[in-house]
Order: sequence, then C-alpha cells, then structure tokens
Amino acid sequence: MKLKYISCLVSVILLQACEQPNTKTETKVAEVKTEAKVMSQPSSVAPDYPQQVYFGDTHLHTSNSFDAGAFGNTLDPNVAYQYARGEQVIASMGLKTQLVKPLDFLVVSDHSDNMGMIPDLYAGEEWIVADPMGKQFYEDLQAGKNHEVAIEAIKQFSQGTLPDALTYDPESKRYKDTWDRIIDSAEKYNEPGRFTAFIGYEWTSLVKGNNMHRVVVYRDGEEKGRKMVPYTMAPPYGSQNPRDLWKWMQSYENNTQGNVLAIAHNGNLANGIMFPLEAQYDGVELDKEYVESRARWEPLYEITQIKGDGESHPVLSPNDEFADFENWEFGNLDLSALKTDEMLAGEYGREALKRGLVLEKKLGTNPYKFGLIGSTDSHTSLATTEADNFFGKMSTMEPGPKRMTDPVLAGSGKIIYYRQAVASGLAGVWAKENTREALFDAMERKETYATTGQRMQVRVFAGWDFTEADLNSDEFASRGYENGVPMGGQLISANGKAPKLMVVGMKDPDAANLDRMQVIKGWMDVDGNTHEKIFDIACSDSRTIVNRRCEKAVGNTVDIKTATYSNDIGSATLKGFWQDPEFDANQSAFYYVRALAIPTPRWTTYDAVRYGVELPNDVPATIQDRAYTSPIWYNH
Amino acid sequence: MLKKILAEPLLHFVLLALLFFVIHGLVGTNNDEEQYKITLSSLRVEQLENGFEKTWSRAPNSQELKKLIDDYVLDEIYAREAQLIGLVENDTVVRKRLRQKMEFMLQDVSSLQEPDQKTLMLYYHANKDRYIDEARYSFRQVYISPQKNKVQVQHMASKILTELEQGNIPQGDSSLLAKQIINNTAFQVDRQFGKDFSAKLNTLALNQWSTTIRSGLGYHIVKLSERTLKQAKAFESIQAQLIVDWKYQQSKLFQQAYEQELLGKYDINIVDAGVQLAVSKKVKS
Repeated sequence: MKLKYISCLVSVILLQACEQPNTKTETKVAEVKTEAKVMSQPSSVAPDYPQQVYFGDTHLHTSNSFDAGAFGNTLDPNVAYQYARGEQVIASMGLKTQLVKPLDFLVVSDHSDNMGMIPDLYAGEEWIVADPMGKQFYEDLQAGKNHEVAIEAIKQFSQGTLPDALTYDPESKRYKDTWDRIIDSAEKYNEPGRFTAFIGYEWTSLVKGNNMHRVVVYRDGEEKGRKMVPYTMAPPYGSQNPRDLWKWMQSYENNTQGNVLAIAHNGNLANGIMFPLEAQYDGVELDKEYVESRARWEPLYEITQIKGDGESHPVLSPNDEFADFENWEFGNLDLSALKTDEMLAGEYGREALKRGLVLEKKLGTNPYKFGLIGSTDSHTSLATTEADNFFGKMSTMEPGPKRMTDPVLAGSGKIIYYRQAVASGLAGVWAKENTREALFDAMERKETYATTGQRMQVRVFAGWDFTEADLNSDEFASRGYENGVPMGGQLISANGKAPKLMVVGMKDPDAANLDRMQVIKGWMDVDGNTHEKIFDIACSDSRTIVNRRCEKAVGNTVDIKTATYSNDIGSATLKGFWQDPEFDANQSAFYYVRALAIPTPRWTTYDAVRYGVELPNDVPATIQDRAYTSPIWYNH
Repeated sequence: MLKKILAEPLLHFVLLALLFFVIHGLVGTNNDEEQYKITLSSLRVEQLENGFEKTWSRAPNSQELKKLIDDYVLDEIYAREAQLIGLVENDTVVRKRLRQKMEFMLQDVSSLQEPDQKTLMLYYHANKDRYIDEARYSFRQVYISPQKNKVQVQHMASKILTELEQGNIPQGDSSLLAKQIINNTAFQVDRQFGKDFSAKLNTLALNQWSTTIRSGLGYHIVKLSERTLKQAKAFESIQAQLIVDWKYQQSKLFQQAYEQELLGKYDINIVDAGVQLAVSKKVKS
C-alpha cells in the first residue's frame, strides 16, 4: 500500500496519471464471490438429459458500445453482470434498479467496431478532439446533446463515413486493453452452477444502413478468448460480408481449439438482405460454401428483441391472426431507406425457415436451419425483458414521462418513437446444468426457444410412435428423448407414419396464464413452392378446436386505467398431443410451437399509469406475450 | 491519538500539499527565469521510454525516442503557454482531471488504514445481513393443476394423500416441474415455483406430507426432507472479504468527510433562487 501510495504521489508530481484503482467493482465482486459453489442438481440423481430450462440474454450492450456510450450509458460490463445476477445497481440516468428474478446467464455483446472508443470520447482524449468531427461530438456531449451525437455517430458509422480518429483499430493496444477488460468481467462473474457469464461481442455489419448484425458467443474462457480480438466490420481490418466473419470464426477455432457460434438478429431492419434466396447483398450467388458455412456457424436466430419481433409478418402470413405483433416495418436500421413489401420475405424468421427448405434442395444444405432465441439488445447494460420493468433501448430512454412522446430516429420522411420499442425478449435454453459448456452445447443443438419477455416454459418432442399416454406420463421427458427428438431436432425415416408431437407449456409462475399453444408447420411441395399452416393444439378455458383454431379468443382482463390484469382466464399449464393430418413423406417440412399468454398490459400502459401521461394511440395497450420454440425438421 | 490523526483528511491534505510544494519548489519551473527553460532529466527520458515499452512491448529506436522527446517538449511548451494565457481556467476536462487526481490521492491515503480485529468484528456485526448463506431446501412435490375447481382439487389432494399413506407413488397432474428438488436455495425454489414459495416451505413440518400449498403454477402436496434456514456466514470464513469491504466503506467515508471539510471552507452563492445545493451545505441565495 505504502509503495503504491508513494509511486502514485511521484507520478502526480511528474504530472502523470495514476492508474485508476477500481475499488468499487472489486468490492462488489467480493460480495458475490464468497458464496460456496453448489451444484444445483447432483449428477448422481439427475437423469442424463436436460431437466431444467435456463433463462438469459445473449445480447446486451454496455458503455463500451459506441452507440450505447454516446446515448449516455456509463455502466461497464461488470455492472451488466451484477445486475443480471440480481444485484441492485444505479442506472445511467440515476434510478436504482434490481431484477425481481435474476437471469441464469448473460452474454455481454458490445459492438466490436470502435469498442471502447466512447469512454475516450467522453474523456476528450487528444487524438479524438484533434479530429473536427471528434471535436464536434465532444463539444456536443459536453453540452448535453447525447442523443444527437449518438444518432449522428450511428449514421456516420452506418454509411462508412466515420473519420479514422473515431475508428478504433482492432490491432491497437487500446483495443486489446478494452477486450481484455471485457473478458476480465466475464471471468469475474462466471460462476458455474449458479450464473453463466459468456464472453461475446457483436459484429456490426451494415450494408448501406441495412442490418446484418451478428452476436458472436464463446464457449471458451479467458485463456482462449484473449488469444484473438473480435472481428470488426470497418476495412481494412474487418468486412461487412458474413462470409468473412465465418472465416474469422474458423481461424479463431483453428488458432485456439476453441468454439464459437454466431446469432443474427433484426432481419426486419435488413431491407430484404438477411435471408437471401438467390444471391447475397453483393450480387454473389449463393453457393455450396455459403449454405454450408451459414448452417455451421449460425445455429440460432434471435427472433425477437427491442427493435421488433421477427417471427412473422401479416403480409407474408395473411392467415395468421397473431402475425401482426410488434413488427418494425419502417425501413432499415438508420432509416436511410424505407421498407417495401418485396423485402419482407428476406427478413422474417418463418419465411427464412421456408426458404431454407428450397435452398437445401438446390444446394444440398439448409443454411437457415436455425433454432430460435429471443434477447433484449438493450444498450443500457440492464437486461430487463418484461413489460413491467422495461428500462428501454438506450439510456436516454430509461423510465420517465418523456419516453412516451420523444422520437428516437428520423429519416426518409419517417419518425420512429421510443414508445414503439418492444419490451422483449428472452432466451430459454434446455441444458443439463448452468455452465458455459452445457448452455453453449444446448445452443448448438438448438434446444432453445424465444420468449417475448415472460418466462413461460415450453417443451416439445416429435417422434413417430408417441401415444397420448406418453404425454400424460410422469416420464414425459425421458420418453420424449428415448423415442423422439426435442426442439431443434431432426426426424428421419417416416416408414409410412406421420409425425406426432407432444407439447407441454407452463406459465411463468409470476406472470400471465397461457391462452393457447399452436404448431406452425412449413413445408415445400414437389414443385418447390413453400407453404405454411397453423394448427392450434391446446386451448385454455375448455375451448374446443374448430377449423384448426381455438373456437374463440381467450378474452382480455386488462384494466388499462390501472395497468393490471387477472389470471381468471387462461391456463397455468397446457398440454397438446398432435399428429400431422396432412403429412406427405415426400415433402420436407418443419414444425415449431408458438405458445401465447393471455393479454397483459404493454410497457407503455404501465408507463402511462406510473407517470400519469396519456396512452399513445399508435401502439396497442395490451399484448399477448409469446414463446417460439426451435423447429423440428423432417427431411424428405 | 495516532489513529485520530490518521483519520483526519484535511491534515493529510495539508501534509500532501506541503510535500508537493517542497518538491515542486526543488524541481519546479515556476519562477520567472525558469519560465522559458525546459530541462529533461535522465529520469524523465527513462519514463518516456518506459511508456513506449508498455504500449509496444519493446524499447523505442532512436528515431522513435527523438519523436517522443519532441512531443514531450511541445506538450510542455503548450501547457505553459496555455497556462500563461489562462486557457486552463474553466476547462471542463482539466477540472475533471484535477478532481480525479485529488480523489485518487484520497483513496490512496485512506487505504493506508488497516482494520484491527475488533474494528472488523464491529463492521461484521453492523453489516451482517450482507453476508448471508441462503436457505436451502430438499423436498418432493406432487402437482395439482389450478384448472380444477376447489372441490376437484380437494378430492385429488385427499386421493394423493391416501396413496402416499399406503406407500404408493401417486400420479399428480403432469407439468414441467421436477418432482424431487434437492438442496436448492430459496432463490432456485422461487425461480421455479414463483416468488414466496420458499417462504411457505418454512412453515412446513419436516418429513411429512403437507396439505395443498398454492404456488404461482397451481397446488402442491409437499414433503420437506431437509431445510437449512438462512444464516450469517461465519466471521472467520469471510475475513478477507470483510477487509476489502471495510476499506471501501472507509474510503467513501474519508472522501465524504474531506468534502464536508472543504465545503466548510467555502462560501457558496447561487444566484438562481430556485436552485439548491445538493450537498449538505447551507446556501445563500
């Protein structure tokens, strides 16, 4: 201590900086680390299949992300992990906050381009203010214009016009230091058996404002993670082409013997280029290499998050009365180009699953054979997923009366408002235990599902020989695994039979009852045309199924004036046993389950009551939270 | 007595300032003749070299070293000229940096203190609720769906209890819940069964089947086989952590006390009558 004191004093005299002692975070760590590590499920008793679903967020930004930081996020990855684990923290805008139900895992996924730059911009480092744009940003930040700076920075970045001084080179020492600190945080807070802190980052590919982002998740710990810095998009170090990201992933695995996967998101902001059918955005035709690489490196798709729900769209699925759900259909990411209907097929999850069947026939591999997860993509360091605890997309959107009326982005004659953001989503992972390895392996085998925030549980098995007794049995899960495949699996050799699905859904114990469960089937006919059909398989409140649907809507108990609801309707658990009545063994198909909760207040409705402000009329007052499971495929 | 002096922030700062002043006077450049003279000691050059090496993991070559020195000299000249024409005044970055440096020094001063056993024990007792081993539970449960009406639930419950009495394994309603929970913490129990379920387990007798208990998911008949109530961690087992936490608290207190002393020295006037100073200091308006 004394030595440190003297050296600090000496360096002060020499007009040099003292290293900032990180007392605060160290103390916090000490608080959480002392608890003895206890296996939640002793392996001697547990069967050899996943017993439990773990909930987490695979997509969260901290102050290290250039846009998050610019929007005023001052919380680093340490705080993000503390919060996800259940500790109380102070949000960037000053509110104290704590999760009632902590998460089981978290991936801090900061934008790899310019990672760590914003803290330096705030500090007014010399190389930044030496640049005219950097100086302008700095002065605007000093003047409290965070919002304007953030928007401008994102626009410049999206259009590839950010000056060199504001573009942090991934080969620099500064960049490596940031990456090392991110890994330090993950290592500190990772506690096998209790909480998993994944190493990760977001590769922020934008093609003229069209969103091609991917989150990269590591199975590995620090030893491998530190060996290479993340892949970026800005040339000459990075690229906007996913093929180059996949090459980077391959070289990472070659160099470290490690294991990584990538999760794309927000196809709805890609203006048609997220799930190409013929050629990539650059005109290069899809080939064997593309489909094989994508299938290998991208086992999951983030189908729902704050910037919109991406499962289905009313234009693509006119017969789906639940498709019109929190879609963002304004334009691309920076609103530099508006949306047209023709783009939608290359943007939404269900359509991509169908396109995958076509590509599989054409090129031998299905590039869009992905499982589903939801995550927040919150830029506040706070992984809040639910309507009643929504902390917003950006720090400027943290709770307060103004977020009902403030715009977030304008372009091409359109305005997007904060109130249009979605309090979503969450990743459910059926894993054997809560460790990096077990969760990652479950993600790779796609035994995952997405929810729009509530923690409902859904389990599905498909097989050829299930009986209803299997569904009702105590041994439901073990029979499921023995005689069939779980979500994310693959059915083979029909032998003249049609697939049977066993599905069990259970409400979030602290949230809404379930309305219904549906099987969504997609398939390709002999002419190569794709189709979809929705089958309700379980309805609450003794409703019967008429023409593949629960006979009537579940109802709505929400009192908008008080933002409350009751569980007098709906069901705590739902079970469904279903056999495909139209199965044709010569047609490739997929099946996934959509479970709908009863209507609850949208986050804006909670806000209207809390802040005594008027309810906006361009967003719904109530929503039906939902879960989307990974599909099970049948290959002809 | 010594302790009291150690805990006196202002005194530290007076001493520090003195030391600073003395050293500054010895090596400083602040008299008129020295204003336009820049001397680089060998120590300074070595420091520049070290800085380079820290970044690039190698020593600078002669060309790089020359550039480092040129940069340093220009930095120094600009700094002096800027000071001369008053650019340092009211610069937010400079002000922030100065405050930060003061705070670093404060933290270092306060971290000189080491708690004795008695102090640490007092701290432990005052903050016991922060050092807790969570309650743990092991139990079996049979689930009854809330879709049943009251009579149906009663009926099923008594059927289950009869089965249990006869030593049979009863069939509850199927769900995604585990039938046997082993050594789970209160947090893990509540995460599966809904908030406050663990609190209900606290009221149960051990090793006997309960009547129906309500959860966020429905009804349960429960046999608790093990329950360890939450308890404070033993002092001995967390000493290292207590020292870290105590020091953190001390440095905060130290800084607060120092700020209060400083505030006492200053007379603060806020012209806008509607605004009040947030820190505890009377304000004239």
